[in-house]
Amino acid sequence: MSYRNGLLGLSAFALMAAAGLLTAGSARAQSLTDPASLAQCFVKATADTPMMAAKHKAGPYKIAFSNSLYGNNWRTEMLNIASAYVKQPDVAQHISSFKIFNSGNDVSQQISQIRSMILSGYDAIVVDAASPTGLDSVINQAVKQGIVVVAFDNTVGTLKAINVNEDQTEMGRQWAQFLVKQVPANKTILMVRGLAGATVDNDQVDGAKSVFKDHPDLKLVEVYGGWDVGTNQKVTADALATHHDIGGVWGTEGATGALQAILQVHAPLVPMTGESDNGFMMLATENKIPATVIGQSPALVAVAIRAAIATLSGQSLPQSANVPLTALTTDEMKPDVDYFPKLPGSFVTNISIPQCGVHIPVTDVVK
Amino acid sequence: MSKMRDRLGEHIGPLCCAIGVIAVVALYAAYQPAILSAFGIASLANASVTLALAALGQTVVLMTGALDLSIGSEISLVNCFAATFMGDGTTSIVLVVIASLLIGVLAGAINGVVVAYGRVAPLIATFCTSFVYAGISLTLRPQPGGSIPDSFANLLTGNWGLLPFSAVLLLLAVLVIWLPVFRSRLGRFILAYGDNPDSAFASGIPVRRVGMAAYMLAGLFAAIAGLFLAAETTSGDPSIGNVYTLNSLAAAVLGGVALTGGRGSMIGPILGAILLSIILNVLSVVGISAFWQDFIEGGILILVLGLAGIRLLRAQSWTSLLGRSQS
Repeated sequence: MSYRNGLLGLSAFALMAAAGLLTAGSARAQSLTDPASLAQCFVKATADTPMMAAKHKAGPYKIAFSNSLYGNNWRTEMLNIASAYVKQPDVAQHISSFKIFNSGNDVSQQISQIRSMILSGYDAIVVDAASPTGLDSVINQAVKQGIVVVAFDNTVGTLKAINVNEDQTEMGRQWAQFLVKQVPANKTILMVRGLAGATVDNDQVDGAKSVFKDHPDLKLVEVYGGWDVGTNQKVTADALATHHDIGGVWGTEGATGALQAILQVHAPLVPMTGESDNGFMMLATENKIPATVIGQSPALVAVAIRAAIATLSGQSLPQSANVPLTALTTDEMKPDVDYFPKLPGSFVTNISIPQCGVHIPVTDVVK
Repeated sequence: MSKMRDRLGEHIGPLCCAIGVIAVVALYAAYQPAILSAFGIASLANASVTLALAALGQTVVLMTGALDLSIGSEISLVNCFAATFMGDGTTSIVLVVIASLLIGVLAGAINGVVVAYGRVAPLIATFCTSFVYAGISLTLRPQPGGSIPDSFANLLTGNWGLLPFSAVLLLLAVLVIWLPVFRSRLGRFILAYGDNPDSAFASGIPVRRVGMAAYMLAGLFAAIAGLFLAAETTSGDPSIGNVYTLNSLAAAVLGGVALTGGRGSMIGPILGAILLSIILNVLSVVGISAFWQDFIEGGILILVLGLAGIRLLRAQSWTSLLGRSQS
């Protein structure tokens, strides 16, 4: 019920919150399309992001989900979250049918699937795109037919779809802000980046450097870990061998590997950052390493479904929206709530997005 | 009688694919009758044509006994080139289309030179050139984007009544490129070379030029596929072609093309491509869970290949079977 935390601050909605306490079920249902709670979840990507026109269709709605790649941890959890979310009572009452289509990373397949969705008369289509631009023309066709299209994670270029994502620049910035508070002056910060040339990598590092540039006393060493645990471990071990004054590690996805490298060579334990990998959080809490995790949540799919429902039922959302990030530091990490000692290290832990009213029990994600 | 059986054997691959396609489309229509509307048929055609073109290109090379692992990168390269330079005017569209086809042929010619004249194994050679072409695509378009005019997109992906323009494009590619080539001496040389390179060489067939021509044809088909993808997605994406490398091989093999060379048709790979392209859609429509889709897709493909292989099981003796597969 953490949606209440958001409402409490707004005295105008105090009454509604009180009503929510009395009839919890209906209040949460209301909160799915409640403008104030939507505004908390869907933050305009930039100040001049336009608002999308709302539809006024009577529910329940027929919603299709066109997924591209599947078979990695993140996507598997995401698909399970999608199936679980639409079955939650407050969501289910808005949905008459929900179907998942997988195309693999084949743009042609995804186009033909979306065309088949147009034929089937869906009210809304949720998309995790195989190409940032390749689906634009078929999405425009869908929108022309009155279908609401919401893209998340791998978003799309067309301005006719609603894009929902997490702000990667902000993520990089928050990691850097954590480190500059923790790392003593004149030390080196090891940046274990993602994949060279990838947009997300550039965004995250741009965000970080916007913070580091105000701290010229900190030296930066950059290596590429490819968002992969094994590669992270290797490049970090190499860096530890040549740099002996590392005072902090700015890591992203795969930082579990960087942490393993430090533990392996018994290097001094330094403050670290990473994405929400179970392995990273387990090692950080076990070794009491000051760390902060923020990560791309697989529950973004639920936020996208919520955006579709809200738009269909008459609410206007930003065309491009960022979901507020939740950072978690080592002392805040609770076992079996924030990380899961019984699950594999590769499990992505941030399966709920409370600031968007998305709460997914871990039993729905691990099957 | 045995002659008839032989002829049936030759066509068993395409035949099984045709049965597969009909079964899958019937299943699709049962769950989603609207798929038989003009829009639905165009969707199915558009989804299959890129792979069909890639499979045709792959087939030409397979028939010489080689293979082309760069076909996906060639598609990406042409796709990125077209989306970057096409512009809006009729002249620029025509020029870019011609240039795109030439780029495809040139990329194929480079493969041909490395394989036929450089004597590098086709697997290694085209694997390497695939990175070269992928690199050029990335340089052209570091990020997906660009634009394709609506007129060009509609010309290739629209439909006239029940007739999808993409099917017309495929038909044209067959009529203008495939049939003339395989009715000419070049076509017979390709088959002869693939069937038995040594005797082809001994009979005075210019084997190097034949091998090179096969790669150039593959590049040409890849270029048409890349142009079609550009029309379908109205943009360029340097990684868009990757899936077509292995899928084109799969479609060709499904359609009865021998990996050992010397045997293959045009209709088989096309049907194989249609089957491969539609199966996944159908599985989703029928409501099969995402996690089972790969498993069932693989199962259906094994079934089709198995049907085509029944002929082999009925061979009189295993020695004749071995002899056949060696030839």
